[in-house]
Amino acid sequence: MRNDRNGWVFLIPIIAIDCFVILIPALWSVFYSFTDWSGIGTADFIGLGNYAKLLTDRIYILALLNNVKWMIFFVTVPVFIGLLLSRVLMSLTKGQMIFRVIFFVPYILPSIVNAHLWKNILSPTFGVLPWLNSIGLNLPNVKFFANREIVLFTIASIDSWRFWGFLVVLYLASLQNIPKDFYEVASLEGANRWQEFLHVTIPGMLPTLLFTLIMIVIWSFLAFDYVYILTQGGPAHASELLGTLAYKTAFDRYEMGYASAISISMSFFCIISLLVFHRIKKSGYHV
Amino acid sequence: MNKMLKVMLIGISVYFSACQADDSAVEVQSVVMWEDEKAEASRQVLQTVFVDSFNQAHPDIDLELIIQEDIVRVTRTALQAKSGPDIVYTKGPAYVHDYVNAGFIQPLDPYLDDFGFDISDFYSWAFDLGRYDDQLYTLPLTFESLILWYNTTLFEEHGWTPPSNRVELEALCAAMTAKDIVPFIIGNAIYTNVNEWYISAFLNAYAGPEKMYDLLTGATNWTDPTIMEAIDLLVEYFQNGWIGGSIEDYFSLGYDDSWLLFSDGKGAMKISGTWAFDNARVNFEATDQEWDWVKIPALRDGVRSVFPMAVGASIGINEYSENPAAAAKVIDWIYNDPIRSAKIMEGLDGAEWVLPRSFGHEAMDQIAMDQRWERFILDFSNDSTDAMFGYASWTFLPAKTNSYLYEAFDSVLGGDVSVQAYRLNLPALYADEVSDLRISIPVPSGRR
Repeated sequence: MRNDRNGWVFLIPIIAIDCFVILIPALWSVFYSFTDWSGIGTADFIGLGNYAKLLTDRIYILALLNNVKWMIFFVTVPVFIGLLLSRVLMSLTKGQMIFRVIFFVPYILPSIVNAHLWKNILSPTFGVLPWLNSIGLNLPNVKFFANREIVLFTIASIDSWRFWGFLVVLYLASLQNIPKDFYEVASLEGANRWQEFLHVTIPGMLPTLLFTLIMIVIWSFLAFDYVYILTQGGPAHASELLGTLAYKTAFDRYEMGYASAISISMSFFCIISLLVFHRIKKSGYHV
Repeated sequence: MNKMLKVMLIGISVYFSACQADDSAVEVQSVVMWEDEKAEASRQVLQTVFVDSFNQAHPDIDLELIIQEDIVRVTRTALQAKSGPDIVYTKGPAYVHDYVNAGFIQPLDPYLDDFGFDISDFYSWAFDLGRYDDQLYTLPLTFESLILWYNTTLFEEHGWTPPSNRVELEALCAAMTAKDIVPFIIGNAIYTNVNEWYISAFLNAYAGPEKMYDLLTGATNWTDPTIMEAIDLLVEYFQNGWIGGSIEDYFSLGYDDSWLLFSDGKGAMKISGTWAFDNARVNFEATDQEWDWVKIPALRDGVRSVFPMAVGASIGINEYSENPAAAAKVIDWIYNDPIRSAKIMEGLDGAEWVLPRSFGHEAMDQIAMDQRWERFILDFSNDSTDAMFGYASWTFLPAKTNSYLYEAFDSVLGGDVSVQAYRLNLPALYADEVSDLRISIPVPSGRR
């Protein structure tokens, strides 16, 4: 009983900070999402007007679809690369730590640095492709950030470049926790590498794998920085995400009420993901 | 006894020194002003020529100039919290409107008599833009316009002359395209506001300043044929590849890169603001090519070539300032001495703090500015006096309409939205906002 009380005493500062920086602003956001507030001055209540607008706003729907594409990309490409590289690293007996560090470095670099690095590399004016063409190679000068078909994929690739290093480290730690005996038994049973991966590695890593997948889904709906730095959602909203749309609606168009509604919808999608996560957890996977 | 005497003497000396300190103490009032991001050299100029000189002349006031990144967002947040700087910096009348409505800035009228400058020395249109419901809330800190920049080295090489009408402009664009030279070298990567420069330029050059005046005063609307044709013509120029080279190139090219290519002869012209005089100087010095500017040519018969006028920054006093009278003295210091103003303007390369006033020979003789810049100041001054001006969208249009105008234009260029659908949204959006807009629109010569 006394331990319980002590625990609560230690929790109070954290709860208080959370209330001030998360709960209260979140409640204000909910309130403003029902108003036409511009960000300054008074806010007039407009009921569900902002939410009704979401359903017919072409740009919002486009941004939501882009978020879904972003999520599909991130739950496949970096996860696959992370799994593959962690498995390869696992088989290394020497130099594993060096590769772990190399893969992890992009993750600890600030996004602004990563983004500008790739912006320069892929620049159609001063980047690698124009340089290769200047020395005689006749390559198509792809405009990675201006071509509306590939811009979102380009930015997602840049973001995943720093993200899969993080996944490699997580997956490697998970792999190392799988008892060696399991692999020996599989080998004795005559399992090939693929069967070993499918029936030993994946089940052994499942809690970590599910955790990362759920987190990726949540992060996908909150993605913002790389898109904002590289294209600000352009050209013509081709790389628009809900995060960039909410920011621009609030601080470029001064429609804070509508931006709040967009943000609340982002939270809604994250809550749905958490519920799925909770459901999976209840079904027996200790994630 | 001796000890007692020492204690008494110390006590008396402490008492008298305290009295002396009280007598000489001057209550120093603090005034804080926020300014937009600046290069280090520009910050130094503002600090020495403006801040230090003010503090020396006013021992009772301590002025502090703080450079803020993303100043609009930071200022709005601070004002909403009834906080922020004493002197509020805005990006022009469109931003002031919200502040006035919310009661965040106070009228300057009570201080007008104390100001050491005469408002009649300034362009009346620029001052009138600070008035809301006949009260003066802000003063213009910099005026700007849109001009047609061209690479003179390239023009001389090909025997071209700057265009003075639509026929000449289009012939020039075709000739340039045939030689693989981009007629208007510009792009809007990261900065979609570039769209509004071209929209403003085409609206003024095609529809004309009188039609723009009618639009802004509600005498006509966005369905007016000449307004619609102006937008159609701009889209046509983009589709011809005359602006940016191609729409994809336009989307991919950044503002700074466009200046590099322009100064390197990859493009022949660009429509950009007069804030870019420093861009022109720096980039062309590096390539040894030359540049010049002309007014954007009229694009329709019966329309005259004009400078679309704009106020790029304005200042007012925070409603919650603890020292508004001291803040007013700082504002006075910005405007009351044309020589000081000219020196600041020179230090900022003629790009910012270009006060909307005639500086006079005495002030202009003390600074060494580029002749092309001086020509702009002189021409603009003459046109301004004769009311021969146009209207920049970011100064005169309400915020949401202007934001739609340039943001949604990307979707038109990208092919997601037809130009007809784009134009159709404008009347309702504008009607929604214009009734609340309380700035006075300067009357052009054709409507006087």
